[in-house]
Amino acid sequence: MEDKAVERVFKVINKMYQEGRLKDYAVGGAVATIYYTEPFATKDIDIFFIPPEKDKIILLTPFYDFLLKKGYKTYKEYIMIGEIPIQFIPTATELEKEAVEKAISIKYKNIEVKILRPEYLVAIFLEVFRPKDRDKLIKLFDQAKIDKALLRDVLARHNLDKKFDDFRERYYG
Amino acid sequence: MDNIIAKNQKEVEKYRQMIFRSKEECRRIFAKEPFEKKIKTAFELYRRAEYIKKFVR
Repeated sequence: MEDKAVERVFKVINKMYQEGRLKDYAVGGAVATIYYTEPFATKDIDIFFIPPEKDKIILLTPFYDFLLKKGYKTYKEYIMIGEIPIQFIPTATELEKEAVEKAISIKYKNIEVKILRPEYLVAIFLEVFRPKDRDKLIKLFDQAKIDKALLRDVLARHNLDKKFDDFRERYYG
Repeated sequence: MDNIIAKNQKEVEKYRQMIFRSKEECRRIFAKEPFEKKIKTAFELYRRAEYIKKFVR
């Protein structure tokens, strides 16, 4: 995998954001987790985005159309930018929306990239809670610097504190 | 005989703990590497895992 492949992805995403085709977005999933932890295998890049609304109807198509017109192909639920599958995930819950709004900006080879904060990654992984999410939770708790007050606040407001306590009891009890 | 096994088990356990500590230290070092390098490693790990899967019956 060439560095340039990832660079190209972030350039395309950044351009779409600058041009207003992506209203607000943030990298989530494994790639965002890897920013805070050791690297581990992943096949794709997840991009959470707040979909635009027109007359209270959520519009998912404008930037898909843009990417397809640019010649990018779809593969299953992915859009391929070069050789990297990208999953564009419209925010579906208040937690995901807030996570995108509170995302931080980082640099990938001088390209600005928005990425979810570790506290929101923890909350989202807790909410979904598949086996691979539990792995990422453990990595984040072991290796990332987590703002505990912020995490408690996010978990409480999104009714995840019981799930968090159960998780902690099971894996760190 | 039992005593000998017990002694060896202690040594083995000590050795295992040393390996685990060393692995944790490696994880912390990898976690501090530049994001660019970590993403590259992540995709490379996936590629290799897919390759190895071809040989699993």
